[in-house]
Amino acid sequence: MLSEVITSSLRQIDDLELIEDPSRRKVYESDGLTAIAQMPPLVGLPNSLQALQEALRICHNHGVPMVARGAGTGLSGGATPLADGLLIGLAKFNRILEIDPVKMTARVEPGVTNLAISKAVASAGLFYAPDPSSQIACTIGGNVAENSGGVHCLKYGLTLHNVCALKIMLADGEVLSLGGTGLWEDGLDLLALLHGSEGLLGLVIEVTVALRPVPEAVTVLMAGFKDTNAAANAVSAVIQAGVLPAGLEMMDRLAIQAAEDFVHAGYPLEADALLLCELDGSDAEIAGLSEAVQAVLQAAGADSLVEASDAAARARLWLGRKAAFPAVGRIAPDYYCMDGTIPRRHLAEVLAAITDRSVHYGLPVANVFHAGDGNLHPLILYDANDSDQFQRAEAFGADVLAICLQFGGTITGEHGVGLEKIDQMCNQFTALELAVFHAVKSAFDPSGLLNPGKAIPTLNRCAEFGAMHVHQGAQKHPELPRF
Amino acid sequence: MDQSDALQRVVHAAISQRQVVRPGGGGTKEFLLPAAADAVLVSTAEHEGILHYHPDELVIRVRSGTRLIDLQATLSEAGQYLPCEPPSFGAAGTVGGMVAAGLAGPSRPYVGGVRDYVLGMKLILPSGEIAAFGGDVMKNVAGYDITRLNVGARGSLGLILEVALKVLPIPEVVQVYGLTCDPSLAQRHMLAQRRLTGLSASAYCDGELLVRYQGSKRAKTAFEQALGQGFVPVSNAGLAAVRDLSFAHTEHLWRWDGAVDAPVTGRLVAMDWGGALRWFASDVAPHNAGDKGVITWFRPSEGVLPALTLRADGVGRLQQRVKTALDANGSFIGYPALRPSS
Repeated sequence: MLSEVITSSLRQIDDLELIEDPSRRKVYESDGLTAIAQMPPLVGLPNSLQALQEALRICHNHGVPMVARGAGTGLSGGATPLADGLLIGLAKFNRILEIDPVKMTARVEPGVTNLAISKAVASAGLFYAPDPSSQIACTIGGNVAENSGGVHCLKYGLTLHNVCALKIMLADGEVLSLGGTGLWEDGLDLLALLHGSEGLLGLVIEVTVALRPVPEAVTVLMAGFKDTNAAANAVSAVIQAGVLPAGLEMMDRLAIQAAEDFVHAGYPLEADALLLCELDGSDAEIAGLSEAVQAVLQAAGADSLVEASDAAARARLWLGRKAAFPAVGRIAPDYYCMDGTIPRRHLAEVLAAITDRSVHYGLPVANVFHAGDGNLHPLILYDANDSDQFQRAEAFGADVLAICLQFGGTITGEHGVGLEKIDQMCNQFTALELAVFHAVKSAFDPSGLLNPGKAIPTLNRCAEFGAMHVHQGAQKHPELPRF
Repeated sequence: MDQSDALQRVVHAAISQRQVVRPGGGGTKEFLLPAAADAVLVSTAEHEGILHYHPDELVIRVRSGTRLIDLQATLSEAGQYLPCEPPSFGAAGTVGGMVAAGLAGPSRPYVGGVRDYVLGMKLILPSGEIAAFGGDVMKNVAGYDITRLNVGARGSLGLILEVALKVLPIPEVVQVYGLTCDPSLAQRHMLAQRRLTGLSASAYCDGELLVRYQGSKRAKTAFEQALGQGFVPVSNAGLAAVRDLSFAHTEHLWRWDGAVDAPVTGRLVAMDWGGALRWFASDVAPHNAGDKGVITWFRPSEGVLPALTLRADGVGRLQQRVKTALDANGSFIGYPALRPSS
């Protein structure tokens, strides 16, 4: 609960819609990670930067924690409300402020959706490259906070690589501009640091994105393989051939079947693994490029090969992949989406280990994979109404993350840590490394009021979780209380 | 050879004697750091070697003292390259130096800079302890991006021990075209050509506009047609000179970073990045930045940069808070402030 003093102060702010009615607040109780819900005591929807700033100052002066939220599509609980904090919705900041076709940039407010940017600049022959599957709904401010990816990261990079400037507001209301005058600035790269900071360092209040010319020609190849190993080898072969596809995605048998049943994309149901390879470039080169990649895929043992070069056929092939999550949602009451990244050479071993865990926990798993950049999304199928299944799914998920770490990967490639993977952070980082993160946080937000309890675990939490790394036989920071 | 232990001992010794650590590598970019008479130079030059390289994953991890030319040779053998094409100020330049300086070459607007290709890092923190951030994978959002915070930090936040980099296949064709013209015509071409498919550099030096194509053989003709009349194939040398700042000048060298469409004025020695980067040579700070650009003192006519006043705005104060939070005792050199104080 928030005290009446704070609530009444917030009520005084012009241009701040306060949601106090419980039935309306309930909408905000979780983000895309619905397994964790917390009713927010109060929701504020500012309609101007001044209102936002005043709200932040009031909270800051009274020591009230704050959680920023865009569209609430995040998958790791980064926007889960706090029981004693203000939830700040930034969706009303949804204007595109400026499109500069010469510099090929767009300056937008944080609540603009990812897809709206590409739509707005299409008439100028440009597009914004990162395309998370939730792009129809997710906001650019949230994309920055999570450093979101998508299926085109291999060639075009993550959000980080496609943002040239940010305006942020710190917890105390101070506004700072990072980057943007040119392509280089002296001093520490705070612009990079803000990406993936999950709302803990500052609120994103304006984003200048870099745009790219829409490629003249695009084609999509779909290849079916009799096992995932062969498909993984084909991915390596494409890259070894010197080709950098715009997208390179893999799905396993269960994901293929669920997607095909759902959207009838024309996927090969007899295949154990499917590759979708998107190529783009100029009209002059695309046909030759496609021929070359088809030859590589065939040499790598593709059992079926289909090319879709017109827009409708391409969209049909991608639909199955982009709808893979809801498709899997149709074959089980619930699914738990994981997000590890691994060095791709270990794919076969990692998939085998995941299959082993699937048998162990008695829960099926479907795998969707950004194969080009090693980002794995195992979807664990379960029934949340069965508390035993729910617990098994959670344990299975934790095992998947441990497997990713064991093979030199990371616990999150693009969905963020949030609340979901905060304990696994204790596995990926030493106490020393976590202390560095806390130091960065203290420089931006000394009062610790922005999104506390997310993304970076306290050392005490790790000690309780019992997963503090011990390196070379010596525990780091033995002076810290652990039990 | 792995020199981590030895380097850590040197850093610890400096800390215990309250001396400031100044990380270095091949010594080719010394001019980027302010004079610090009492600082101890800790060099990674012997800490070299490739730790692993998986061409089909587009990832390489190397020790920081690995010379850039050695890295480039290894990549080249596998048909790959470092897309950020860092400048070379001498054969001794190291990967650690490239990352600490964060300077990218002519391809910067088209494929990204150094930080866009750095995936992970191991470093000796100002406390003297060793920590690792990021990793060997393309996508990784666990924890704050300490790796990229260290790119361009000039060793102010720690001594880099290892770097994991994303690399790319070498394009089938790389060809530079030249056109003799004056600076304002060069800028008009630069603006008109920004969207050409395959454009990977657009620079101007010594009265010649230099435009580079990289891509497939098949698409090269279309690129040449789009360039228009007057452009002739030339060697890579002119573009390399712009990248390495090897144009002749005797005064201080200043860089201007700003909008591509800002008017071209002043004693320009070169333009790069399609007009977003401009180089000026003069004894005093050029006063033509305007509101579309920022002037930075890059290289003094001789010696190293003097200590300048810190950037005084909110961003400068936050940068200082970050530096202080990560190096509470000031064990490592400060970040040099490069803006003229006037």
